[in-house]
Amino acid sequence: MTRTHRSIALVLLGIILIGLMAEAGARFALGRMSRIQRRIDQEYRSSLALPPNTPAGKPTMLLLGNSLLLEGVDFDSLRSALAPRYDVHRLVIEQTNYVDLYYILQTVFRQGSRPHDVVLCLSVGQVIADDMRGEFTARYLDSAVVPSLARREHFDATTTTNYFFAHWSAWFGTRVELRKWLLGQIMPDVVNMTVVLGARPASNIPVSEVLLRSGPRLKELKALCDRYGSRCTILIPPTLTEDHAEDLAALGREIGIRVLVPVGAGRMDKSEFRDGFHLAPAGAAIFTAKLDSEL
Amino acid sequence: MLFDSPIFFVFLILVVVAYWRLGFRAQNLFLLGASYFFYGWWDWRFLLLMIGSTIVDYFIAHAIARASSDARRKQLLLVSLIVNFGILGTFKYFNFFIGSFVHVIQAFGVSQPSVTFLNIILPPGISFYTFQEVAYIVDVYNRKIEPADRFIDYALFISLFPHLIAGPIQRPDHLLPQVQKPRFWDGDKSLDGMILIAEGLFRKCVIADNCALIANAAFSGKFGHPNIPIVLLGTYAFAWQIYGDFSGYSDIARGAAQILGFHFMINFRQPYFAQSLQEFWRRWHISLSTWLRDYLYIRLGGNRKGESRTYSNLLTTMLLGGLWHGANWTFVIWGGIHGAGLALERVLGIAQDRLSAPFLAVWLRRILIFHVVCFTWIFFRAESLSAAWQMIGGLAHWNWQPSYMAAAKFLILFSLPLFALDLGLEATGDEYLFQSRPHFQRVGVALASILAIVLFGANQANAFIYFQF
Repeated sequence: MTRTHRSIALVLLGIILIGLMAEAGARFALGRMSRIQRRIDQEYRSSLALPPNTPAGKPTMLLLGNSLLLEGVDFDSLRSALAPRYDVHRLVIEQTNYVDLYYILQTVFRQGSRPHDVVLCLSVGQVIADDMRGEFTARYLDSAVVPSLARREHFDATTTTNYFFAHWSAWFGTRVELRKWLLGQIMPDVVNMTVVLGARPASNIPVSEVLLRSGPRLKELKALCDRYGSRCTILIPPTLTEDHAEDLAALGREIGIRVLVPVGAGRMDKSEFRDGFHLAPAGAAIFTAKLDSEL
Repeated sequence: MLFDSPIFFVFLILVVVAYWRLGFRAQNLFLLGASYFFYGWWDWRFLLLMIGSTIVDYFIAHAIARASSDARRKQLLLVSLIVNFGILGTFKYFNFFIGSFVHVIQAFGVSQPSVTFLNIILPPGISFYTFQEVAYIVDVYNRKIEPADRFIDYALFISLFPHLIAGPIQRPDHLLPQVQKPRFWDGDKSLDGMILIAEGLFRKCVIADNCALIANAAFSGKFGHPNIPIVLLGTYAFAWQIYGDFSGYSDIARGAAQILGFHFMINFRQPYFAQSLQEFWRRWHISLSTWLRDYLYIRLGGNRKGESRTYSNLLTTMLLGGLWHGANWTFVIWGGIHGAGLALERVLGIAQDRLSAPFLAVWLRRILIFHVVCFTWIFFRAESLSAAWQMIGGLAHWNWQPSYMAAAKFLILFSLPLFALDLGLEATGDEYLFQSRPHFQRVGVALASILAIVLFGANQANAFIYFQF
């Protein structure tokens, strides 16, 4: 073997080694280092094995959503309040929208989970959004649903294969999180900047568009839950400005899916929001109390 | 298939392993099939378009070579140019020219005329392979090269997958002979190729994709209404983003080609170290700038027809070069500023040899040219002319937010490595870091690049910028 061939072998070996270390790090270390990742993994695992009723006969409920659910609902209080009637579980994956959560729910069902009730917590804008979290979502998808997702979202072939790689490889699926965590260690103020970078300007969507785009989604969500014997509810968190949630609720009644709007648009004070979008703890307490009586 | 996606590396490994087990003719056939598969991965209909124009140019080139009269040769050349630029014009510029026409008509007070816009998707790489086809036909017409005997060889010259989507635009007299001659495995070149790929990925995934976060935020208004810090952050970030993105793409292309036994021309030589705009264009996207020089500027008369014609040729070349990048007036303005700058340098006689200048003067000129180039990037990056003017208008306002400091630190963190890399390359004259150093240092550089990509790569839904051109 010549020196050049040894060098080539060394590069290839090094790449394999770095790849294996990255994979092992993402599988075993990221969950330990990142509180968020640990929570998501725990909630995901628990959501995959829900029977319709507990052995004691209590129906199960899966709350599914993003940071609006995480920050807007005091989960421990809600679970305690609902404990006489429901066994409540939660699955929160931040930065997700309707499409992510619809396919995650499909995966939950495909894995054999049968929650009696599914409560999907999203803002009206997120119900009709086409954006997705991206490859991170693929970590929590059954590989069998990826082709259907790719067709629906008109993914090109490269994006589709990226989803498969992200599903199979923990490092590939979570590499953006890994980078964020590392940057947070090196430059703590970068975390605040990523909030600015991730912010989306609020858009005022006309009611006709809300109804046009949400109708098919409500129908497919109902069909999915009906197929697996679950009752579906869409929970709309409070907003500062008009979001047409009541119109969505009316559409839900037509379609036969419950759309809950416990606190209408503009009913909560600005001070009860952390950033004008997510609720602050005081706002979450008010919203959770309302939710308890409506669920 | 994007160069920074895992599927590309699966594809590349399979191709390399199979390719080196084949004989010469079978290698070319296999590579052509692989290149068509690579291109058809986006949409097989685009493939038909490329194969169609390849067939037309193959036969026209032979007809030019066989033609007995100059008039006939010229006619055939014209046919080829009309076909090639006709396809490019239809797919890339039809809606742009119709839209511009409507704006002009409306400016004269005529109400909205009834026009039809085409619902066209731009085929990937069309601007690159069209220029390569045109170069081939023009070189055959000028008797600089013989037309390729075998269709497979010519088709492979056009479609060889490493350069197919975003260059470097290969010259027929450089690449075609390589396609036509047997190639043999060379361990040293393959090692160089692997290191180039690693460095290219580092430039793209670590530098460009992270700088893109700042540039996108600044240009999309996420930092707020434009002001001096936002304009500076956004422009500097975009300058490093586009450089890392495109030079990274070129390195991966050159590295992949090298592993397959080909040599591609270098496309970037530390462009932000240029001391004049003329020097900048000798360092930036070299394959395009030399193409524009040889096939447009010189054909227009270059500097042989008097001073005023030289200036107008410079301006025309750069305006068309700008338009080549995209069907938007922002690119035309970008090209126009560069053209005007080149003409001005010529008037002032400042584009001469700088090698003997003192250290401080060199760096002051580099900083000045970097800022001129950054100013032009505003037009290049902005979605529209009004957005570009809005950004430039921000230079009249001052405002400071704590998030700007975090963004500045972030930008320094991710642009400094590329600056340092360029310092090293400029000092040594190497094509990649540690090229002339011992093997273990080169292996170390490759592995360090891979480790940085694994830890800091931000590539998610970030296609290479030049894919859209």
